[in-house]
Amino acid sequence: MKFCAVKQYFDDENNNNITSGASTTMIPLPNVESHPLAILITYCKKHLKIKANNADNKKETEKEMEQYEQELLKKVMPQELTELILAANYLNFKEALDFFCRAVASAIQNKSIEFVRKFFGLESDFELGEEEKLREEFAWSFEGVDED
Amino acid sequence: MSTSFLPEAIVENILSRLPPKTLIRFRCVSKTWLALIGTPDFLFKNILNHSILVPNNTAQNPNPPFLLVKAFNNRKHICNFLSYDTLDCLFHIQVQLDFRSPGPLDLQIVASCHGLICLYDRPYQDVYLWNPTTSSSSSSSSSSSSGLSRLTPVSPRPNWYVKIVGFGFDPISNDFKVVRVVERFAVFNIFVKGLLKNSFRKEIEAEVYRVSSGSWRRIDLGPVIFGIQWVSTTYMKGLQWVYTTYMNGVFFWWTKQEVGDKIIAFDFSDEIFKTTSLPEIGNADTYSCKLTVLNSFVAILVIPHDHVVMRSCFEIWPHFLDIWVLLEFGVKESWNKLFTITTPSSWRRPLGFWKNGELFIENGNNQLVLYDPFTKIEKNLQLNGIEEYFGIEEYFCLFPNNFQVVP
Repeated sequence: MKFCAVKQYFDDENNNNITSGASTTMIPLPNVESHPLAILITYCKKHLKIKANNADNKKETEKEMEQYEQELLKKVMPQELTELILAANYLNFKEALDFFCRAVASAIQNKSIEFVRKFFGLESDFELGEEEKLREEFAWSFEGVDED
Repeated sequence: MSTSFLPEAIVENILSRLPPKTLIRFRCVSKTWLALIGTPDFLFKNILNHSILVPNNTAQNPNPPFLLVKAFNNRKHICNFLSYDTLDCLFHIQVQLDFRSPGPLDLQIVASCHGLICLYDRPYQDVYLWNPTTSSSSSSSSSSSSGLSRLTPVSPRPNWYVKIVGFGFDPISNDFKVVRVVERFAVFNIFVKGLLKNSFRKEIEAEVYRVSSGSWRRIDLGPVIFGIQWVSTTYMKGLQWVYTTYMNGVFFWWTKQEVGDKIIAFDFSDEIFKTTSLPEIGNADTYSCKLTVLNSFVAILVIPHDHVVMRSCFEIWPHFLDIWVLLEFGVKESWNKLFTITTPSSWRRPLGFWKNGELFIENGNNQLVLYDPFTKIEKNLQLNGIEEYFGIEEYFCLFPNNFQVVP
């Protein structure tokens, strides 16, 4: 089971000797919104389906998965990625977490400091003049950055 | 205090997938990120070091199957093929030229890519292309080379001599190419104040050989100045140092010029020469250097000397080996000194990188040693009976199954 948090829930239930009518049991997931959950479920089903279809061929699996992931990213807004990451993290769904982290890394790779601060909800906590010094020392790394 | 929407472990997950240039810029985001990303040096395992040392996309840039170690043993040039992953010596092939037994430094490997190896016979200025998979094994314990083909030499054009040779693969035209820069002093007569005098000028040309067409074609040198440099390896004061390297369709030369040393790059796809300056490597009298590649970055290994170098540069101990990495070609400021290693007295010279920043070293007993800069642990690779003058290349073979493993 990919959603390790959910699996944990079932394991706990079994340990408590409650018959798990799996199809009708309601599992509380207070930290996950319905929209990202839906995407994760679709992702998971697709992943398992592709894996089953290409049982022997790992390369084929990877290739198909990549194609599906490219399509998926077109439909997802960058801001939604944060929610998806948190959901995947909560559900302990490693493949999806890695995928969405990859997607975020790709999205921010060429972005400015200001963009990144906004994306992650960060504020500069440098002393006066510290940031300027760093920017000057590493000015070459600011070349070619996307406009905000 | 700045807190992100995301927990630190996830931020680390994301940052670990970014290239070094981005990470260096993102150190300005906040103090937390400055600490998280780290500084480029080999002392600690941090995110920035990881991005420099470890390949990000192993699917697109897989490790080569073999490591080629060329050595000169018993007056023979032997190419040892090691498994790149395990470093076990799988087999070896002796390289033989027709009509000639080249000395230890005469025959050098220019580069190896996609199963083809380019060799250069320096005294005769001959370029050879060699496909080891066509070598036949004989009944003796080692197989001899065949499948060596010699390219049209320079000598039909009298008085020209070869300044540099490079070899590589152009993925756009799907062709192997050899680049050669040749020079001559052209003497001509001029009248000066009514008297006939000899004058000369230096002429320099560049040409590219395409394996598919089998012929040389002249190309534009561009504004690049070729100072003094050595074709591939030079023998200076008892040492052999390598000033060229090849990576991903681009060939690099370290060139010595009066205005300051530079690295010249030749891209086999657009056939253009570009340069980048070297960093300020220090104030020593002289340096022993090696140009090499570390995980898709141009790297230099530099040993400063303040006195005349003896036969083995590590005889007088301690010596310091500086490792510099160029994070963006053409940008002098993007040179980063990763680390300084205090070399053990047993070392002779550094040869190049293996995986994850580990170094191949030739030691004083003519053996190949693997050194891990993080753990400082050395491992002797037990390549015995091999004299000096190691040359190391990564070797990609298209048909590894054709090789017969010879013990």
